[in-house]
Amino acid sequence: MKIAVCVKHVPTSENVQIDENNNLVRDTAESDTNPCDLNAMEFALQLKQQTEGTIDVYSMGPDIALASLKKCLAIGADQSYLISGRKFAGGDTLGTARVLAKAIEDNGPYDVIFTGSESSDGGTGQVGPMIAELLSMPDVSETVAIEAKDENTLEIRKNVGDGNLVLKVKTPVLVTVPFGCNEPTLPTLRTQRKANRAEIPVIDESMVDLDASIIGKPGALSIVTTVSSASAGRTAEALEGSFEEIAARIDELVEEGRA
Amino acid sequence: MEKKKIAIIGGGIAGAALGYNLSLYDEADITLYEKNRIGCGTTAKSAGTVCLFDDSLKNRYWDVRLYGFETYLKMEKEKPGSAGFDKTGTLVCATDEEVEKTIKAGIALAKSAGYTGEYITDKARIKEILPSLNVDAILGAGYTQDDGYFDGTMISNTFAEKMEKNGACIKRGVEVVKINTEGGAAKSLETSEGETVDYDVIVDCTGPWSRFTGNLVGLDVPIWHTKAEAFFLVPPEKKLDYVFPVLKFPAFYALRAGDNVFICKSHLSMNLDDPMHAGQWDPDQLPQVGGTDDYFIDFLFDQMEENVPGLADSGLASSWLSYRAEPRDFLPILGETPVQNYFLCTGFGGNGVIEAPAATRDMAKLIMRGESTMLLEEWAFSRLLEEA
Amino acid sequence: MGAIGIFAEIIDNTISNSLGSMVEFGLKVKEASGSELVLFAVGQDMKEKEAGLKAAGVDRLVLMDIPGVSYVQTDKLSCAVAELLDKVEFSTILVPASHTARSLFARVAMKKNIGMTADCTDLDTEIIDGKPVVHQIKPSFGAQIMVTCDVEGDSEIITMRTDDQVVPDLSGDPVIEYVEFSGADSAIEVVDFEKNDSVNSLHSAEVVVCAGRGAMDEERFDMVKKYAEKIGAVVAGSRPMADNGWIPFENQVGQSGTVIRPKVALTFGVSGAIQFTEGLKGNPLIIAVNSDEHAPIFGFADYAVIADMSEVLPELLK
Repeated sequence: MKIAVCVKHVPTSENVQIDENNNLVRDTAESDTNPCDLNAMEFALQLKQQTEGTIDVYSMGPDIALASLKKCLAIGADQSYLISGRKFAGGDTLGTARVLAKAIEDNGPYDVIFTGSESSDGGTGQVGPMIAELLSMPDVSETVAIEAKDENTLEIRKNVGDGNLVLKVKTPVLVTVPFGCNEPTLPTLRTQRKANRAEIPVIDESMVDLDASIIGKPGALSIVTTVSSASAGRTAEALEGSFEEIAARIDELVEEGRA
Repeated sequence: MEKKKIAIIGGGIAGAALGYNLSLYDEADITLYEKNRIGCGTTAKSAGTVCLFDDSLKNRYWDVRLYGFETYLKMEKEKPGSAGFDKTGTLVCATDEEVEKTIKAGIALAKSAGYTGEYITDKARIKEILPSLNVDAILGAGYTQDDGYFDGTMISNTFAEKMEKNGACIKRGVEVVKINTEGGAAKSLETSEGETVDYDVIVDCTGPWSRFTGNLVGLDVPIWHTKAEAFFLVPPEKKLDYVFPVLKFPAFYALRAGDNVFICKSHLSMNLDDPMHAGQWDPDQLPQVGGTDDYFIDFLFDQMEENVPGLADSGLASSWLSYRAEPRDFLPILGETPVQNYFLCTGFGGNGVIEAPAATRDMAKLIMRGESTMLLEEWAFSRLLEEA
Repeated sequence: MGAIGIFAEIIDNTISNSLGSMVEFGLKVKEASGSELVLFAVGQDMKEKEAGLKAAGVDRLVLMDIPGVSYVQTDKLSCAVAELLDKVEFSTILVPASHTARSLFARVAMKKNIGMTADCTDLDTEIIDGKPVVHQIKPSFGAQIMVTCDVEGDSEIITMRTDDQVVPDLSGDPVIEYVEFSGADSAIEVVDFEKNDSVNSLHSAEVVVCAGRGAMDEERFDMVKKYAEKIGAVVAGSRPMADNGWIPFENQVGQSGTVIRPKVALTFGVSGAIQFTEGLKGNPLIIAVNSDEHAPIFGFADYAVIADMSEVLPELLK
């Protein structure tokens, strides 16, 4: 099977910075691969092995995203692509999905596309299903297990809270994967060393045939207007009262937090 | 009894150890300022190894290391776990005859102090101790079962607890933002909470931040930051069925971290003028994880393939970069400065955990009694002024 | 002026518990804008569900009955919803931020080029030039910052974080309309359901209970384990617990151990050194219990209980 994986390189710092346009400053120091994207890669690897297929990884972002692409090569991807260009920047989920979908389509067709469930910075979970829509594929979110039953059929287990739905899905399909559902393969010294030397092709604006008005900042329909720091310094709120009262409050907080 | 009011800036291993040693003097009134958490800055990235046989300075400061080691053994005895001791033993590998000589001298010193140590040339025995080692690449190895590594953060917190029990005060989450001088002498400091407090003595224990702290009194503290890159490796077999010892090679050292192996580039051939090795940066900008350069992967792979082939296919779990703070001669900076009442206790260059007990013991004596020691003289800040 | 639409999600052929909360949000916008409030839903056996959708304050119900459809068939459902949206003019569409609803409406947003803002916690409606503008308020980047968003264009899709304890007042009397679906296939077939009775692995656990040095004795650790079992949490720990064999190394949370991203973490006797806290990511709700008021964990947790855990745990186990 021909497999594609979309990964995002995200900021991981405890201290975020916002620029004048209310966008997250993405190209500074602390950043890494979006955690659940590695869980997505892991299922891609399993399927690659099972079907003797290939994996192409795509990431849209500035040069720093190359680190995530190299990591994916080290883990077992066959090819990586960086999608980068000023026209792509400042987009909302619609614009991002359009660019990714076009790049994927140009190198396709793919049988399965994997993405993480949501990114740890933006966290919308929309881009995957939007790509599926553009490429006329079904989407299955919260995938916790996947197996090829034959050339065109996958058996997918989807977590719905109190259990898993077992689904039979015809390819092509886009699958989103939540954090923690598998143990991602790690790059090794050997594989990372090799991956660091790889030349990763860049897909830039000239190679993505999309109208500038529907991508990047011009195409963004959902716009951030104000940004404010949520909590200044983190000091814990002390729970007081009798131990009975404290325990009751803890129970409440745990239930609230679970929801 | 008139007490001496002392402010310690920085709650890492140096500040906490100094605070504890000062608290042993009745006339000391101590306040320690730590802007984040005790022992959670540079100290937290320290490997905390002892290595009785070996250090990069041909064991000139053997007694200092021994004192540190024994201080922490006693700390563990008093309250198990309070120094985070993992007694894995140490294996120091001789890659050539020069190294072999140093190791053998180290073994003599260890034995002289009553610890065990042997130089092993029987390759089969070495392989038993560390199966993943390429024994053909080495002449032999020094081995002791008596040492291992400590946890600098736990130790810092233990010192903090002990000093508080002795009446010292720790201001957590408080930063010193200004130091006021009068007639060339440090007089008071201002905090991030808007307080101005007078002190008789102010001590800088801020390690990689020392240049910034020094600027508060107009002092140029010539601290460089040398890069200490470290990785957590997941061995191919996942769980090791033997105790991974502290492993020392000239170019790197490794120790166990749970089921994983922590590996770090050693101090060898640090060129302070090479930005790949060193620079003068802002420690606040240093990320908690990541930040290592690609060349480090190459370096590590070459070392593993040659010396520890069993680890060449280890998974890379995570990595970090930390700054070893030190001046050009790679020795710590202790003692008085041209600014009266302002002292330095910094620049331990990655050896803070093992060196702090002796260094701060002597610093406390200097501050409280005005009496110097051999160690303070060798590591005096004044030596750096003479050079200039 | 378009209507305010509330998507009443049907999950597993049942009206979702998010309805009450969603109606509350809708009513809040209606109050400020004066627009018509429409509840819309797509599923099977919709006639039987009408009573459960008659929320007070809702002016109209627009329903689509599609026999045999499953809520996970987002390919088919997105076609259906798109057709429904062609029949009703909505200026604002409110959707619960469940995994299935967000996937469904992401597809709809792309089909119809409608801006979509996700995971909002509040709405603030303002009248600008005589037209209602709904500002969307949400946390971003793990709740470190709060942002306000606006959507440009004739309509907007907003997914809302709901409180599923809110019970809707079903005493309303809306007008009820049905929209026909022209039909579509789905490539997704539901074959089976497997109930989850095994305890989660540490990595995917929603609630984790962490034991630290303070829990390093039989009695205390036993209570910690029992509490974890009671609330369906996984037991993890800090380094001393692993070093001394109380927990396996795989369950050691921290820099050199395992990085977890639970929703809730309770710590008992954990000091909170950076080596541990670096293992807790994703901004979980943290409740820390420690008898030392200076323990660094209190600078990191959301809630602090400065007490001996052997006083708190018995109450929690009741």
